[in-house]
Amino acid sequence: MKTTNLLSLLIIALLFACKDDEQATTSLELTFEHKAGEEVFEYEHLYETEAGNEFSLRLWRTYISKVRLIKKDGAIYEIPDSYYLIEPLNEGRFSLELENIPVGEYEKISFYIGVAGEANLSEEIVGDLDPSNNMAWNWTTGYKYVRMDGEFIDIVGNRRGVVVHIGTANNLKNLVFNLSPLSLGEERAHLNFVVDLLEAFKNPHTIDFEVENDFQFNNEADLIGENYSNGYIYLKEETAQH
Amino acid sequence: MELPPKEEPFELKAPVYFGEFNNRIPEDNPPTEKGFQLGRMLFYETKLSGDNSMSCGSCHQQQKAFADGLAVSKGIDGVAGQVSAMSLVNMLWSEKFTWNGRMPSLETQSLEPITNPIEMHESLENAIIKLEEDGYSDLFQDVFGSPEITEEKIGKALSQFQRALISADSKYDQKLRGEYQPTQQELRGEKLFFTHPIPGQLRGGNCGDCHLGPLTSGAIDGLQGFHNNGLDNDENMDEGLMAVTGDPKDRGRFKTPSLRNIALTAPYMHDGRFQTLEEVLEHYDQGIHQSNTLDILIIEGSNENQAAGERPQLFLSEQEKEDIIAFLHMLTDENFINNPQFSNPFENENN
Repeated sequence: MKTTNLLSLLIIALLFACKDDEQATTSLELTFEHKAGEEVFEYEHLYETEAGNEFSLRLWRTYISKVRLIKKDGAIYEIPDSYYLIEPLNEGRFSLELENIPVGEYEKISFYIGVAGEANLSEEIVGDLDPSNNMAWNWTTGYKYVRMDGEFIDIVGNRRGVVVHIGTANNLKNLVFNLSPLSLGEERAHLNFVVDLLEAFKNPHTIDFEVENDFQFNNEADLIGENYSNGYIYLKEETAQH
Repeated sequence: MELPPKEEPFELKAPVYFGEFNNRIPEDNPPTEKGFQLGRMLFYETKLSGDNSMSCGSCHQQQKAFADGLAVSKGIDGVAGQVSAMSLVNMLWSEKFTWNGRMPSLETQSLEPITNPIEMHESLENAIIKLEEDGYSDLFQDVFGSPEITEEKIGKALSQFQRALISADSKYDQKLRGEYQPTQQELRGEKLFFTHPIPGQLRGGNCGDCHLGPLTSGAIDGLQGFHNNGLDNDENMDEGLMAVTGDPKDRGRFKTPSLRNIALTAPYMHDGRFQTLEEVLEHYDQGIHQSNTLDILIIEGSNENQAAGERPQLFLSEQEKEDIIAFLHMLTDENFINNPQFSNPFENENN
């Protein structure tokens, strides 16, 4: 009898707790269009870098993490366990759904390129982190944040690789995008980003594959890290249905 | 006929560092204790071969980490195949099976050697009749809820057994769990194995670019785990993945095998051309053949600055090669090759 009473009390308490915390939530869809300049990106298709190298890729993946929505008053909503592996799937597109976001008006969205936080150096399976997904080095180095495997033909006609495996803490880059602002209500809103392959190889550092074509742990890898911190992912349009 | 006695409760268990696997178990073939046991019996069942002389276990022997120690194996008619019997291990972290990836699932792969005329050379109709005569119908009833023996059910049961062949108790696993302190040589070898070299900055064996992470097997998604590792030049190269995709870019690309228990699975490569791990290391160090499809991760992997177009070499020292081999020996899992749950259930009957 006593147990039953206690249990009922607990249930009532829980009900109240839920009610207090109850806040209308909504979802937000993010789409990433993979492009090479203006063109829709395709694997095994030739593109030209700023430096004039013609190259193609067979694999292109980007980790983003710690997705945050920021209100005018500075209040931050961080999507829990937000680790997403972005890759060109359907006609270069990749979509993901952020759920349980408190309704409201948001001024900014931010996320990292790379795997932020301790999860990078752990074997935990959280979000899209998975030690068997071809993005991990090991637990002392963590994940590759941006991976491109491809090839180019050099000026004398040799077939050479384009190997871009960028990770490590210094290449973790926080991106912040201003929204107009975005009113998240009961209707589903949508943010459309572009990931531009060619931006990884320019601005500010013009990368010439004739000079360096293997980017892993070396100083040149950090140059690509600096390149992808600005312009590699940009916000193309936002739509909120009211 | 009865199911062999349970040794221990059957459960698919794997270390977290192997990564997610539940999403790769087909929904229509969830593992069960009885399914595993039936699969184990079928795996060792010689009635599945034309003359009742061979089973899956003939070419996939537990003591050899489910390989057979031969470059190529002969079937019941004494005709040799063209590729080496693959070690069966950690198959949950794999999606396209056999050296050229032509089998989309373990269920379909499992049936192929039964009917292959140069392997077990038996029709499934005949095999099913023989199983019925042997009293297997009751076992199929227990596992699948109906007594009919079908090729689909045979494939499913065999797959359940093979999915359970998880090797995760090597010295390397013990090291990862903090239970084993490796020697200095083993530690050097581990580091070399997983390091992509950067001339002048970082010495590496470049193995981990294809043999990923603690599983040491190829990438799972798509065709990423298939590589041309420089065994031959364009003129004498085997088709590999191209036989499946028809794409000339896939010529000479083969499935990157797991290196788990690699010290037990000689000879090496899809055609068993290398007898020892030393020969394998020599190949990657200075035996690479150039071709139009040679993997870029090999082209761009050297400890010295090489001129573009030069034959890619690693430039490893003798000591470094020995270190890597010491690491490879760490991948041997005695508990896996001696696990009584994976052994031939019919052998005890004769003892």
